Amino acid sequence: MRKTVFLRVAVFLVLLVLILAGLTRLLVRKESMERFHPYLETAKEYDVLFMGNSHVVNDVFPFDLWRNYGITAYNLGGNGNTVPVSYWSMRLAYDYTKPKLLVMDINDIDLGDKVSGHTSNVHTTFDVYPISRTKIEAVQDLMDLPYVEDFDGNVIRDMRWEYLFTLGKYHSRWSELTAEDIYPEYSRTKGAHVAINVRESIDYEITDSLAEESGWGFAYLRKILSDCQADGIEVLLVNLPYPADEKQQMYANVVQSIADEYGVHYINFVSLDSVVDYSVDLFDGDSHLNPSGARKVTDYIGAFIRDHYDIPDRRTDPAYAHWTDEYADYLTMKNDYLTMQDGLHEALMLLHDEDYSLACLIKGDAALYGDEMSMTLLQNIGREHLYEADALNNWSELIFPLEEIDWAAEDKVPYLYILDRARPSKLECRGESQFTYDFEFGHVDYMATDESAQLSVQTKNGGMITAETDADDPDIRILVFNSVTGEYVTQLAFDGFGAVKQQ
Amino acid sequence: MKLFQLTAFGIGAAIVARLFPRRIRWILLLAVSALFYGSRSLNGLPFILLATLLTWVCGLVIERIEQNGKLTQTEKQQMTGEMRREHKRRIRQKKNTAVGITLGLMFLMLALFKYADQVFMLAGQSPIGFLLPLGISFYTFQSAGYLLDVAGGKIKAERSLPRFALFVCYFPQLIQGPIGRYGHLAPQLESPEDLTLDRFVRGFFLVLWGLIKKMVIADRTLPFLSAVFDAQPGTYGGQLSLLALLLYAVQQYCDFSGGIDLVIGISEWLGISLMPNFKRPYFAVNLADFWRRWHITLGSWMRDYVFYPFALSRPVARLSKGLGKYPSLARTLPAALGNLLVFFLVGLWHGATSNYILWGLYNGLILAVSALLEPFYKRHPLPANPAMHGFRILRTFIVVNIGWLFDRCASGGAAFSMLGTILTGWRPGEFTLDRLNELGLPWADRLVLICACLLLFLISLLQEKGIDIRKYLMRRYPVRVIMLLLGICTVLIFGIWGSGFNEASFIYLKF
Repeated sequence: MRKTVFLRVAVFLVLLVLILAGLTRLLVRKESMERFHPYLETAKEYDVLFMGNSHVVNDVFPFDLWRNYGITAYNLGGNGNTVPVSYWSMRLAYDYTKPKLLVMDINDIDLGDKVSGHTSNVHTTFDVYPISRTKIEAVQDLMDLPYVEDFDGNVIRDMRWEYLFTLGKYHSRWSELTAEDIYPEYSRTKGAHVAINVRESIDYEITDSLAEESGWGFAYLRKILSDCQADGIEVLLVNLPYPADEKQQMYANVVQSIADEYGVHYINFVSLDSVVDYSVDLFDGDSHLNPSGARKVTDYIGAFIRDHYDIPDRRTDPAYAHWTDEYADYLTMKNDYLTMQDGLHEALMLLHDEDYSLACLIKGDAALYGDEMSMTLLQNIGREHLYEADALNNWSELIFPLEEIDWAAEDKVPYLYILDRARPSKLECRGESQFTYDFEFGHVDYMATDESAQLSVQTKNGGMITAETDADDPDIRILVFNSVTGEYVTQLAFDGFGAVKQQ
Repeated sequence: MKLFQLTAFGIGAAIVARLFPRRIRWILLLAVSALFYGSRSLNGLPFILLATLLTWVCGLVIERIEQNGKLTQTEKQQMTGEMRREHKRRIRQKKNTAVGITLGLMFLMLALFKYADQVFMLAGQSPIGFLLPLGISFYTFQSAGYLLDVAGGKIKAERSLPRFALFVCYFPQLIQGPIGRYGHLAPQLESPEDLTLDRFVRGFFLVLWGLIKKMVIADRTLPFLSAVFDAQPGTYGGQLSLLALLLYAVQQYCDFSGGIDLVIGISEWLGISLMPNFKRPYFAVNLADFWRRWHITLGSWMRDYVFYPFALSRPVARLSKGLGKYPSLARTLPAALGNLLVFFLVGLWHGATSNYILWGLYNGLILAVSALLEPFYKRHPLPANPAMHGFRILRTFIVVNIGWLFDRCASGGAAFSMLGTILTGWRPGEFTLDRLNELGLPWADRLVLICACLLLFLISLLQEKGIDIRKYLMRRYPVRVIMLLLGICTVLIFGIWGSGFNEASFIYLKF
């Protein structure tokens, strides 16, 4: 009798646990899973992990590190992460692998509370990890104070259990389920977020003043450094670039002494003030970078890692052959982003990408000639990335400065700009001109008068693409090619600046 | 989450209680109840202790008076009839004095917590902000009932203070009742039933049903009800006001009866069968029937300790006698006056504001008129057919809902205003789905509410037909498992709980 009772209770409990696990899996918001599940699946592959808040999420593209340096990295940054949250995110990540290098962004080190902001962000950082001793410790440690509230006015400590049993947080999502909840779209960017927008920078001034070291951020930064040293993991501290106010800079400047104390490198991009160009590289004007800025920063960090750490180049390692396929998928994603852009500024910004060669044809009376942002973005397409010693130079030092475009704008004549990154080479034409030339992406025929121009490209696979600048045509047409394979990617056309795309 | 905590507490208490031998299990129940009370309402602990002590001592005093006043056979023979009556009167007077002082103190304590702020505000002073001790109304009524039963000789006074304390503070009923009677509860507390798997599952069905009523239905209506009822009068037209009123009827029932189902289920795990407090009230065919089905234990408490003592009191009897020329009136007047008094007190118990007093008087008045018209209805009975039965249910539902307006609105004026809007203020085009979305009733909530209310209606209908649904569910193991899993998933997915949701307290917790 007792056996039967036990068996019946056991069957019921097993069914209950299975059903609740299934429901939790279905109802949980997929953002955390989508961003970090690939890391959990392939954790052993990563030599470098990136930690920090949304600055890291938006500003570092691991696949660019792979492309240019063969570095295998994953971006584990989380929007709104405080340094204490990053510490526990690191501890959870280390349960899966011990990387060779941790790159830690120290932004918001001055925040007063261990957890702040929207709890949904903290959930994104933690939800993907199953219940474990580390996760319980994380929740207990981060949410131990009874008076700390999130932005919605909820007492964070009261919601601790929701981080361990996420059904409590997400049970009402049944009414908003989509196919994505059954088939999550896992990150194709190794955790990075591509934030597409172009905004002008707010005013800022660089300062070398120092603040007093205080608060949870500094304490947990020291824990990060101690733990990593104990685990034999090297640390690179960074303060990713943004137009920081004086107070933020003062706290970031203090980190140099901590880096010196622990003998680790610290790149303060804010005080370098030259790696990115805030006039074209900002997503939101005061904090996050767009892909153009992210590529510059990522490239800088990649070169720095290559020069200062013993991180292997895995590009020729057969065990990492699948990274090439994953990169191809990443490229497809980038192509899709480029094709779907409705705004000229955003499209020009995305073209600052080593994967793209292009031929850009602009009408003589194009409105963008009078738009400073468009002109700067056109200059930005071929801009070289700066690194260490070069970083002190100004942005006038361009590898592909556009010399003819200002004249074309003044004379109101057609303008052609071809950038072939495979060689690399640049070609500019304004007004009346004619030429035939073989680029890596195809054979180009161009004929222009002061009123109109005609461009045709015979691609490597035999296709013919043409672009004209007659009165009825859009202001600007851009033929985009893959800079490595020469394959035709897409044709972009915009009428006016920031205008609706016309295909 | 609070309800889950309560449920988990109940499961834990039941399992621990099962480990104790039956004869000392009451000690554990007392410890668990004290722990529950202390953790939920530490500030209320002195008051429940004081009430317990006062009532217990008074019970013993009454019994002592009774015993001391008992006449020996010799004394009886020596006394004349007049002397014996005088002796009895003196004994009664002594008992009444003891009961009066004790009840006076206890109800004064209750009134202090419930009305002091309102009195201060009426006097133009700022309120003190007393925190109502958990369950003070319920244990006050329960203790008063005990005392009156001891004084009336219906039960013997409890000699053990701990046992009596358990009767007062037995934790499931402290939240919002039911108001237990000593004669029903004490023997069970003395020796609770053993927890078996069947008993646990049976209780679990009731707990789940209570959670569904409370968390899935009642709490889901809150945003909409707050938006409409808490707005300035006239903000919304008749259609939305009517919908709000109907949803309030649903919320009120599901909140209160859901909570009662929950505590009765938990109590079943502990081996104690509490008195039922609801019996499908919206199936009532008249208002008196409704009040026999709604908050049954308060109704029966009022009947036994207020209505009958009042209706059978000498002044009322004299008044009735004075109407000898009108025998029907003389017969029905005591009941009519009794109902008026009872519902005035019930209204006052809900709160000393105009809306509650009007709500009480509205119910009392209708019941009083019904009592006075009873002879007429007896002479001209309504036809007994299903259509008439349905009509009577509908009529009662409307009458009850008009009363709910006074219960929910912030003042009597607001209630009258809303009633006027419902009757005459319909606004074309106001009742749109977009409007419902704006007012906190999006499509998902509407869908859940409609399905849950249909389920509620179906189950109530089956129960009304005398079907014991739990018995049916208990028949086969697979059915039990499937229904339990379904119930748990329904509560977890469709219930209002977790961060970002307003998991409301029980409405009756504040009373």
